[in-house]
Amino acid sequence: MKHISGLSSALAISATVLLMAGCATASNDSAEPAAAAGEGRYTQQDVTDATGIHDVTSVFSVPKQLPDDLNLAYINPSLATSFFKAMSDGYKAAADFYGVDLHEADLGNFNFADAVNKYDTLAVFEPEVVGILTPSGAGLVDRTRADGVKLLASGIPIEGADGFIGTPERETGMLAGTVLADGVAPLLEDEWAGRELVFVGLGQAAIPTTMERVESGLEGFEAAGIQPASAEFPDLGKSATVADGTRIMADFLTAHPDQVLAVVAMNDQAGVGALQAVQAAGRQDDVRIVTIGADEVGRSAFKNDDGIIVGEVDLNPWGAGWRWVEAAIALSMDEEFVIPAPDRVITRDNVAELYPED
Amino acid sequence: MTATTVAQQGTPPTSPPPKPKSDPIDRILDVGIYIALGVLVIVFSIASPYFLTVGNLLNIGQAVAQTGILAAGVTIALIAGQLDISFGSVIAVTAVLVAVLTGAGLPAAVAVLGAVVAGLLVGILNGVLIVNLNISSIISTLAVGTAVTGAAYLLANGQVIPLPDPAAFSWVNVRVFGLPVPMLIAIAVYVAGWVLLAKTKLGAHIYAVGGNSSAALRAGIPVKRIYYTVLVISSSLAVLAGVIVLGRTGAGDPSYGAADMFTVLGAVLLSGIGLGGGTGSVQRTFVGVLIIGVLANGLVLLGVQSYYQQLVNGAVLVLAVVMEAIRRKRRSR
Repeated sequence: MKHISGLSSALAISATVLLMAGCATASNDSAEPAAAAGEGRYTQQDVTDATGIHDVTSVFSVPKQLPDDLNLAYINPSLATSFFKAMSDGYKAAADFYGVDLHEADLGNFNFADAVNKYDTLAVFEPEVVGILTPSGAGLVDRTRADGVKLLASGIPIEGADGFIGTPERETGMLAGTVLADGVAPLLEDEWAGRELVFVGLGQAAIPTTMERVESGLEGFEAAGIQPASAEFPDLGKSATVADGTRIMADFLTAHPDQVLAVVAMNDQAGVGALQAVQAAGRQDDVRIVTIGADEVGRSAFKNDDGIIVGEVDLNPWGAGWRWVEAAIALSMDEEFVIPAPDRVITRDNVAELYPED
Repeated sequence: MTATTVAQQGTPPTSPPPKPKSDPIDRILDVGIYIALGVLVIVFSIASPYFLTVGNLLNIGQAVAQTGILAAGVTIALIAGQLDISFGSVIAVTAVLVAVLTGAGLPAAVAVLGAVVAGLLVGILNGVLIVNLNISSIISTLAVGTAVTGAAYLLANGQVIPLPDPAAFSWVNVRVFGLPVPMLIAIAVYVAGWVLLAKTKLGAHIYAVGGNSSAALRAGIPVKRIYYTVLVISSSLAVLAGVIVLGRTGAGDPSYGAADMFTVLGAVLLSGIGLGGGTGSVQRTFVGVLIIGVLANGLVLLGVQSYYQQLVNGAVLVLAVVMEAIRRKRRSR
């Protein structure tokens, strides 16, 4: 028995690795090509047909004939986060649809310190364009430049990168604030009349784009004609997980026992965390929340949200992945792409219609 | 794990512990880690045409340098019987401090010197808690690490601080004779670690203190000084790793180092080192580091989803722990 132990560990490792390699291709979520190959470019209708319920608005009309060896790579910040997992599924589906190779690495739980190492690993595939979401991309700019690889930042702009695709933060935040105002306005004339209203923006102080998003939420809220007594922006910390949202909101509720709160959360995780804190504190009548993202975690929250979540600005994470591939192809061809602002809001009334697979 | 909770009897070993009797089963257990590394290399070489290329092997060397440098420090401390888990926080504070100081206009060398001082202070503070206040090393270094991480966030005001002049740290990304500088530094650290542990009196004392601190004390070995020394070595190597991360990323981020806990401790545990001290070597830790690095690299090349990667990493660690348990049980007979 002991004799086997040393060898068995080696064999078990190799067997497991081979097994995992077999799983790799089967796990990709792929879409069927919508148009027959031929001259010209894919149209928005082709993309709409191909993306189905994900309803992607294309950012670039991709030629039907691409170089055979067009190769892309994406360094995902956290596949354990539902938004980025959906994004991963989206860019894999797009790569499959457009017929380009795409290789992926995962930073685990936002381990940005490992980004350059992960790039080095993917560099053996000689990608033309590499994508990443990171607040600290300076080292990656130097590395990709040295290799002649184009860097397409995603979500957070990187100074010196060759391109950026993400959410127009101001427009997104403004939309969230407007939706929140619509949800809060009737309450201010009824149950919340005469009570002190606090606007709460849940963002990450270390990531300016998230702060711009929630600060624009306040702008949209006020532009809709509602003036809160005060506005606060507690820091969700590094990861902005459900647990972070719960922790921050629980403390915030404790510190504001008498106020009513209008909350814009930078993502679904933080918003759902805040929802759980509100429910745990029994403050359902005092809080309304709008989240940004509409990933699986956010959408499923409508099943048990006590009416606290007014709406979710649909960033369409799957579509964001798809669009990253389109933008990367455009960048590889030195062509322009257009970043659309989100205009769709998910509510408990339309979630089943817009996401019937949930 | 505290300075006084080791066995009260026996004589201290004054050199690396003698090899167990030449039992073939023990030998197999001892070489299991090398077999595992060899098997991984063969499997990945067959499964991916990219794996066994010079460029990729150098990538692995570069990627494991940081983990390796940290693991060397943790190994030396652990041989002396002290588990230092504050290394992640030292990386964070190093990267942030250097970024802040250079941002304030100080030369890079002065900023790095500031980080070295901070690292030494962390090592000394760990020593005070463990040696003078007799608190468990896990608890002490966890507490100090938490506080230091908080200090890094405070220093950075929660932000990522870009280096004002990344060129000052561009040497981190240079290759000498085709080899990445971080890899060369890691190799130098391991050679120095091997010399220290196997060829010097201090190394013999480290094994002696880790094997039986009471007996070592009776034999005239300065136990407290040894503890301080290994803790300072560990934190100093963490500063070195922090400078490398800073040079690689071009920015100081207080979240750096948080994810290194698993990889570093995983590599150290894979080496078969006992948590009780008195055993282990940096050579075996080096192989453990390579296993972790080869797995991380090979699974990405194969396109294996990261969830499976975590599963594989966890399975490898479980196997390592089981092997060590078997080895310990056999030796105790």
